[in-house]
Amino acid sequence: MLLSVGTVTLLFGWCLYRVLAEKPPVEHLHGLNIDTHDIEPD
Amino acid sequence: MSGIKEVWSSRLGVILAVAGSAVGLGNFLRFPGLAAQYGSGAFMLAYFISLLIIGFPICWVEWTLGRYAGQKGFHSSPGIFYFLIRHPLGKYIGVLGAIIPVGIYMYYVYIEAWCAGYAWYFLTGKLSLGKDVSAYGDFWARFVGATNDGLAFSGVNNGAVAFLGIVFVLNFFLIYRGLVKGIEWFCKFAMPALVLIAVVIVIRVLTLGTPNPALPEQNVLNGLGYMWNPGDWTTQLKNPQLWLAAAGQIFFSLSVGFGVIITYASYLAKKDDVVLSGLSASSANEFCEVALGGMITVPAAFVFLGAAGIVGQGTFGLGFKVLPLVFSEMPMPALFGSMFFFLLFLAAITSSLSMLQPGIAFLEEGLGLSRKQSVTWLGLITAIGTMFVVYFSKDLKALDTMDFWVGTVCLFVMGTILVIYFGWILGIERGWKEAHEGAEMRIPSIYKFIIKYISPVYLLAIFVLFILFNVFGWDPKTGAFTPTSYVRDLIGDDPSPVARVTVSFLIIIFVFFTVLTALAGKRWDKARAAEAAQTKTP
Repeated sequence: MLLSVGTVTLLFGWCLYRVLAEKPPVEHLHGLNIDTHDIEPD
Repeated sequence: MSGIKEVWSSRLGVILAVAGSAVGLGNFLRFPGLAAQYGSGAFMLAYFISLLIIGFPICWVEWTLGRYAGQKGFHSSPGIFYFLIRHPLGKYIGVLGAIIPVGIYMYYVYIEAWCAGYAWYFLTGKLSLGKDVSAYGDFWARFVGATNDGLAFSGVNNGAVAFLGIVFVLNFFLIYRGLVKGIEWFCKFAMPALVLIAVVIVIRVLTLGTPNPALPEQNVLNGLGYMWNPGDWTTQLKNPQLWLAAAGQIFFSLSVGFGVIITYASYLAKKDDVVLSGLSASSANEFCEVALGGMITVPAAFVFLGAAGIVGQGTFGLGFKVLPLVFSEMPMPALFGSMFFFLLFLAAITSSLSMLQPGIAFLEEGLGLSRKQSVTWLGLITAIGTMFVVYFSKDLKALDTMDFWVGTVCLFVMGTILVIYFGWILGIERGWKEAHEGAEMRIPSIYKFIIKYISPVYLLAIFVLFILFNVFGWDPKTGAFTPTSYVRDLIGDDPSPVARVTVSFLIIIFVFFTVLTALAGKRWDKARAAEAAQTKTP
């Protein structure tokens, strides 16, 4: 009982964690790529 | 192809919708009965092997093929197979995927109404009928019309048809609202509520102790033991019927081959994950079945009735005769009894909703009907079928016949077709690549071998066993064949007129959908030709 119940509970819990912990995809603005240079010290 | 692009609003939404489709009455009634009957040690071993070899693989196959075809605007099974198999006859393979959910809905919605009715009657105190299980059996028989055809429509049956009307309208109201505002919205509430209620009931059952001091052996620990003690492993594992029962339970429980998952997945975007999503929906079903269903039904029944009260009870006997008595004997019967049957109702309605969407998708994309028109026509078709089932209620002959031929035989055929298509026609390499588009996890690479070689062989073996045992009545000990009632009802010396009429009805439905598919094919051919002409035009 413990093996069966434990296995499905763990699997379900892991899947739930993975799904809920998913970060939304980073949005990229197409065609806009700003590259700033560090200011050189005087 | 569908002119309106419906998509799921969130990944959690589609997972809950697919899980809702899978989690049904079988999780809480059929699984516990089977596990207890075969001795759960051997049964669970066969069960988990089947989960790994056919459960997860066919889920991933359906999710993948659904999303793949959905990119081309096909959401119904005939449409999906029209796209997958570039042959004029390809779309007709998908007819099964349209008939199965519609056919199953016709009787499933009646069972769903029973659950709603029982929840109401427990709440209003009408289901405390004493300690004799036959009183509950009589109540149920009158309620569903099991003693006479047409009884369900008379005034003496405690209103099953009234509950059916409410439940039927509710299903179509939700399906009319569409994928996101209807199915997804409802499942986002219903599935967590279902799990919460089930957890409460599990706690209630596990704290029952020994309700009757005069029968100290009937306690919850012994009840759990009756459900979960391994029994004689070595003997049971040699029993082909155990493997058939375990594999069959996995197959039906996960709703693979229904034509539902493939339709639901067709509304995913190209880069939406199907691997983790498929695994999540399947694991949700397994959690509800093993961890919740396995801890409620049989232990609770054992505590009040002992083993004798459980042996020989099928799904309906356990659910609608034994368990009402069990809950009526518990403290606060109105609360826990109504909660349990409301739980069954939620499990049933999330499944029945899913059975309607494939039909809606087919009418929309195949015949160009609007959602309103599709809902109306599907409502009419399924209402005719449901009234047929409700009228021919004596011994539930129509329901049982439909369940056997549509809800069992056809499912095996469809599941086998899907897995063979994925592994051998689309090709395992291409299928594998398609499955991993946007995937949040990798399927273990051994599954390439399993999906291509093991799953089809295992599924075919189970199907052959199913035909041998459940159709031809094979006795492995003597080698004799005694056709089962499903066959004798049709071609035996004493056939059942109701079974014959039911099968004739199913054949009419099959022909009807085949004709519609032919019409749809012409529409899709025109659209394909127009698209090809546009592509060629400079």
